[in-house]
Amino acid sequence: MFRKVLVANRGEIALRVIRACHELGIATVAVYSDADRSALHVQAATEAVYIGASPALESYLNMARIIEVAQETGAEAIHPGYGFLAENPEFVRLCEEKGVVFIGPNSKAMALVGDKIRSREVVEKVGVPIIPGMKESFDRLEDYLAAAQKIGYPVMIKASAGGGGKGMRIVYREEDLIPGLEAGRREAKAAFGDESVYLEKYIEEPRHVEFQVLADNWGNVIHLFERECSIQRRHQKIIEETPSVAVDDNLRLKMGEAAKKVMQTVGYNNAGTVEFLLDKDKNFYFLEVNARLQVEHPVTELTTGVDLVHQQLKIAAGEKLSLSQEQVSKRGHALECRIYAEDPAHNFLPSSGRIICLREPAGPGIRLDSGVYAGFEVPIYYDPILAKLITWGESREMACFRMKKALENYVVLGIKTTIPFLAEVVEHPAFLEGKISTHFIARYFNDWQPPAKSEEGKRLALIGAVLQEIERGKKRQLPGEAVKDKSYSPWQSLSAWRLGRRS
Amino acid sequence: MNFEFVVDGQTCLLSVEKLAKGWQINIAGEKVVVDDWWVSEQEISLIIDGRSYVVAVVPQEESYLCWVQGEIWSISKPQQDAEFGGVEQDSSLEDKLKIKAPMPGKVIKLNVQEGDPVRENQTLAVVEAMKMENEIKSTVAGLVKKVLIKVGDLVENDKVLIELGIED
Repeated sequence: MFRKVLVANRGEIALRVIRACHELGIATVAVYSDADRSALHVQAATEAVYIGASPALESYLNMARIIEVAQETGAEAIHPGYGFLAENPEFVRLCEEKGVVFIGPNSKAMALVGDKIRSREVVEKVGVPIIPGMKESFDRLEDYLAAAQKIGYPVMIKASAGGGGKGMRIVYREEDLIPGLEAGRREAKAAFGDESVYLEKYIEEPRHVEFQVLADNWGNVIHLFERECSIQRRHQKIIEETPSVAVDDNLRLKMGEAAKKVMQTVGYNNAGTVEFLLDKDKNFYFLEVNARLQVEHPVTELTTGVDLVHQQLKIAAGEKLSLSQEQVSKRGHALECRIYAEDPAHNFLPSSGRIICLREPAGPGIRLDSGVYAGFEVPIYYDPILAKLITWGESREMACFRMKKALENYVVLGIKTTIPFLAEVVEHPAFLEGKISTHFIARYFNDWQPPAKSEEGKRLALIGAVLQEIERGKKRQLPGEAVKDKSYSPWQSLSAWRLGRRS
Repeated sequence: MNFEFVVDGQTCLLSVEKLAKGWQINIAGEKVVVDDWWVSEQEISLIIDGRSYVVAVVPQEESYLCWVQGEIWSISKPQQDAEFGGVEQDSSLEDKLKIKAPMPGKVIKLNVQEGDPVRENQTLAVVEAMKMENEIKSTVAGLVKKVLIKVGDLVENDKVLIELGIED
């Protein structure tokens, strides 16, 4: 096993990986940018090294610098987390060249699955169904018009290099194609450093069902069942769960075998996910392989009892899988909500700034993978994910109920978050009945506004405000000095003092 | 002690009296006996009539931000100062002509120049924050009077990006 691992990421996922390393007796090296000197991952790691300015291109995407730090600190391996360099085959090749173990698939498999078009051809040849679409990406935008016509509208624009919704667009009409391609290319370039995009047929009313796979370096491949990630906003997953209410034992067996076949065909090793679309008639189509640990991996961990990061580390260190397919079992139901620094009442605009008050939910069946703390300034430079709230229950109903309660008790003040929005989604009747598709949010939560507030809430808020006012008045008063003014007004004495700012 | 707050645009009067244990608070004629325990500088455990509540209260510049049972309330001080209150009221059109950044971010695209005519809802610029693109749209039909940004600029929340004018 490794003695030291560099974690080339930030936020909750860096923390998750750092903890897993420490649990296996592995020392860790965190890397950080200017904006992240105060970040939690820096505090949690054994060592921390500054790697550059705040924009990701100058820090978390700086391949040469990160590998250099690994070598300088004597880290034998690099865990990329998700996003940033996690699915960059050039980075994997560079690691292989420099003799640093990349905790993820080999560069050949990474390049193959990263090429969404080639991977579909390969997968189709071994009998796994795919969605009709383009076989290549074009340089000239005009060339896409003919391709879109052949596939038939609506079409989906997708980034060749990426996932996670970045660069994705659905186009219903021909006149929207070129602007959509332009925006998609820019987003793809910004997120992955590669602007190529391609088109495919857009299937309406689909469910997003993916299979978690583990493959060791010795040819053993197992799957750890499915996750359903149909609750998406702008193609960005926001709630994930396992098991899927749409998948029965028979379908699970078929899709699981297809997922393993995909990974064997592309020569994959380490943890990865095979994404499928499931249509109304239970036909499934291979979408792509996510060659990384996924944001939503905890729901699988809670139901199977397998620690996926431990497995990644063991596989990367050359160990054989200790579990056979028959030994993998699941119990109960798990649900994950992604807590983003976005304002759901204002079209989900990013909300950066300082978290002033933080009160996190806890209790039986609740897991919180968080990357923030009270006093932390959420930077504008990176993904707005703050934390992931995961609940487990013996039934889906209990997992949903625990989620609802946990969201209700989750306090974040200072920045806007998606918490109040998520609290309504998890108690929506259609969600509770499992009648979901990737259109769920657009259908039921378009133009969402916060629910009407209660009179009781107002009364309690006023009581809180007045008590805080009195408390702060006491603190502001210097010892021995009396309040001279009869109509006591602390606002006059506020001066230039700003909460949470340096004076 | 008497206090005045504004919540949801309504003025609320509170009178507060210290008791041996806790407070008696009079809100709009209703008397409430409150037992308080400070969990932290921002979190208060309240017991009222035997019922238990937790309230989080964060002081902002001119208001308090309160979290209560999943609801977030902004409790502000009354606007006595004419300098603050008066000016913004009748400037809604003037305000509309100033296109502001809805969040802090980076300008990645600028679609117009000074003097360009614009339609209502036309995309004037694109600001990127946290890796998502946000289109900045024109609020009115008119002319671009002034462009105060260039591509690559980092902008703060509410910064005026573009000034529009309306054709006569």
